[in-house]
Amino acid sequence: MEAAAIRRKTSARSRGFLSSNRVALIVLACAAGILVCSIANAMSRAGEDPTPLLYWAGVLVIVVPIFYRLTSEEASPGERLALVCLLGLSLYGVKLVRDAPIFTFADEFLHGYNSNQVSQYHHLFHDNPILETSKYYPGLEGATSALRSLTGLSGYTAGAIVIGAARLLAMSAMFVLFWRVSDSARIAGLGTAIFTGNFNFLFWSAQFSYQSMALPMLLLILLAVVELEIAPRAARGAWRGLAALTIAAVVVTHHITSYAVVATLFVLSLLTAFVERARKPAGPWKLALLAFGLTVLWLVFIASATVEYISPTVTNAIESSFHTAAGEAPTRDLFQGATSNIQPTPTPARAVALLAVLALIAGLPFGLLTVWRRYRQQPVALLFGLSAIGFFGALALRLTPAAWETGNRASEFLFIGLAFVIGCVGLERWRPAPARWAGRALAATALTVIVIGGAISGWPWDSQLAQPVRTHSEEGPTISSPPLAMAEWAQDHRAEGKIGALVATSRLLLDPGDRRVYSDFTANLVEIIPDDALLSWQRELLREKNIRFVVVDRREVGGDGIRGFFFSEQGASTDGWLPRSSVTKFGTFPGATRIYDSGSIVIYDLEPGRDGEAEKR
Amino acid sequence: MRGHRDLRLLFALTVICALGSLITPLGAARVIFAVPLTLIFPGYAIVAAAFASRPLAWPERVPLTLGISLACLALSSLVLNYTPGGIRGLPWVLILVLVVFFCCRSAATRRGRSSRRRNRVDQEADPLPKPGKPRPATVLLAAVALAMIAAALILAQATFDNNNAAGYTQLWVSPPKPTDTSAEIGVTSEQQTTRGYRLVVEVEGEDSPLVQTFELEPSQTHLTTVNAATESPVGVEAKLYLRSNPDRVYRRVSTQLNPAGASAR
Repeated sequence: MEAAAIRRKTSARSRGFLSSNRVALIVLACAAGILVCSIANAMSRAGEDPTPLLYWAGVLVIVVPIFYRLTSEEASPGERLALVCLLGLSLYGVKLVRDAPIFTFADEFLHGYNSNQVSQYHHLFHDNPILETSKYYPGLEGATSALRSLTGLSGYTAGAIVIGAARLLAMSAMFVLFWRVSDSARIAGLGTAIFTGNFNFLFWSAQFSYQSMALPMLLLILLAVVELEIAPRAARGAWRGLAALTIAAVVVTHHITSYAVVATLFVLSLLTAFVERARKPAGPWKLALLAFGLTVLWLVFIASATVEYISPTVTNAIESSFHTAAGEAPTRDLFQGATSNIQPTPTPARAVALLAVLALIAGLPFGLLTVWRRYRQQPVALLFGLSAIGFFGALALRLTPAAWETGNRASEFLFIGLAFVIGCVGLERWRPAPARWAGRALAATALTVIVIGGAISGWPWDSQLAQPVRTHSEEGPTISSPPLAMAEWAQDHRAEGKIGALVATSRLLLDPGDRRVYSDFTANLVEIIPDDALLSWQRELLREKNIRFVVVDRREVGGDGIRGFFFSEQGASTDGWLPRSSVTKFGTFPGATRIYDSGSIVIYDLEPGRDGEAEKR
Repeated sequence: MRGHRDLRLLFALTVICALGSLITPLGAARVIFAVPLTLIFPGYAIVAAAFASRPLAWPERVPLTLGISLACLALSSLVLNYTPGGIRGLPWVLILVLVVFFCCRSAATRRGRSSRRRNRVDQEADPLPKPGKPRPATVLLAAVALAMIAAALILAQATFDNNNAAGYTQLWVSPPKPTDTSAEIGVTSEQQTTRGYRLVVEVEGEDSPLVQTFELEPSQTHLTTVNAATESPVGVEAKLYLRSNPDRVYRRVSTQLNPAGASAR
């Protein structure tokens, strides 16, 4: 009897401890998860080849306790808001502990270079030789410059803080948005948690890039639009003013997001007119007009080069989709390695990724039904329903080679609606008599599968863990990876003249190399460099673009913006390297000299001794 | 701002952070002042001004403060871009302090105007829930969590031994400038262990090449300077051999030298 009483007392005490310290324990779990991920990344950088299970266990330790708590009835709105913010920041922590810590994502180098230019020259709009468009959207670099100017922090550290703030904004804005639309903090918490399962959330959207800051601001605009409808008349002007301010900030930050804002606001106006059966403009049509006007003005007077940049991508995507649909072109293989040396994603991982999509498909009709039954009078909820359906259309684009990127970009915006719809499914409220916990357990499991599956789909399996860009040699001193060492050499040995390079080397030549380098977007160098012979049109193009230095990266991953920055393993096969002739062909260029040779990377000076005049042409 | 403690406190904190981020000598310590000054205070002040007559519920305050701060930074950088000082520390501090000051003043004025309604509004407002006093166990758990985060970040910054990483050696020659009469040839080892090398530098028109043998530890660099002795441009070719494989050219670079100077040394 006494033993039973002691057991009961101990059990009651531990229950009391758990309930009174629940949030603190979840914070502890998140910290432990980030530490486990950091250990897995450290082991990977040390060449220990850790089991991927260690890394995924770290992610699970972060997400599972939060998901389970979010499925409960008892959690207060404040606790749910804290939990989703914690979730967003913890998953951002997973990205940060993967960094070197230098930029290692392809787009980060472009914006890192822009940020360095602002710090160096104290003005915006300096040329970006690889992605010209990025200089016309300086919102991210402008915001980062405040922290850099005041603290002297590096572009990487200041950028990490700004993107961290944007991530916090995304989670909090989405939670309040979903809460206001659904009038349920539970749906809001679950919906926001589901959003972390979008393919780009873990890595792509966490990089130092303009969309990473613009998308959270889009969520704030949506929140302001919803508040406009429900706020008392006295507060509407304030919401309208803040929405206008945020729209202006999005317009100067990211082109695609600004178009998404315009489209969203116009569709919302139409849906409002439909719901209210109004014959005159309704809903946020004034904000839609403002967004449209600002976007067009910016596009015409500042960023006209954007049209040239985006139109081929969109045109190719449309054409390619038609060709694939007509059976004239092959579909894109999912989960395949980019090159022959890269192993495809293992079957269990593919299964989890496909299961995640299946879970979303399975939840969609139930979610849509709930949205229609409860929220069909709310235009924003209808918009979410439409975008949830549209998400699966964007998913189909992933099967088309040239439309893959367009589908990937669109899916992130559409996932906002899908997250809300799936949050409305209500699986967690299912309480069968024999196991009352079953609904919550199932919902938490489905959420976990969606997040892990999304992360697997969104980033190559072999690149989930960090690879080394710097390492201690066997004798102690630090050595750098071939492309990084080349970029550092180029930074130390400055000479007038533009550089042409493949993707990986070009990004490192931008940052930390701080050199004017041309590559994939602005010149045909990604076609010229790998060729066996130098054709006359190619010589002309090199002269026309005033390319003085050509960097030939023979490695198979030289054109890879994900894998090309790191050390290769000792004894790794060189079968996939570019042929020797792709290097030596530049020796046939009249007067060319070979000024750098590290085995895998060779630099030719096509016009030795050229002065600065040619550069200015 | 008299009579509005929250606004006075906000402005005072802004001034403290502005001074702190300008005066503090250590960059890392300036972050403590700069982060709230840039990412919190501008948004908070603008939101306070916008909703002066009708206090905002706390859940909206979180995203608005962050989002409007980011928007304010993005747009302010455009303003600074066209000012004489450009985008620098002092102009940033000035613009942020001004934004906070004018927004606080505007909020105070508008609150004054609607003072009759304030009592009713205050009752309706949804104040930020006040956290209770933390228990010792909660404090302990938070401390352990912080220690884990710190450990994770330190680990992420660390460089490790990786004997599996393929080492290599760079052979390079400084890109020549129009006025250069000499060239600097360098060999940099990025190998895992000490290696022996033989460098052969052939200058066009000279009978015997310059030959150097040396060893380099990882990350060490060996430098050689070559001068031209003729009145016309001459070609220079450098070949690097590994001592372990003396017959095969391991790396090769070339350059051209302008007239003047002496022979290779």
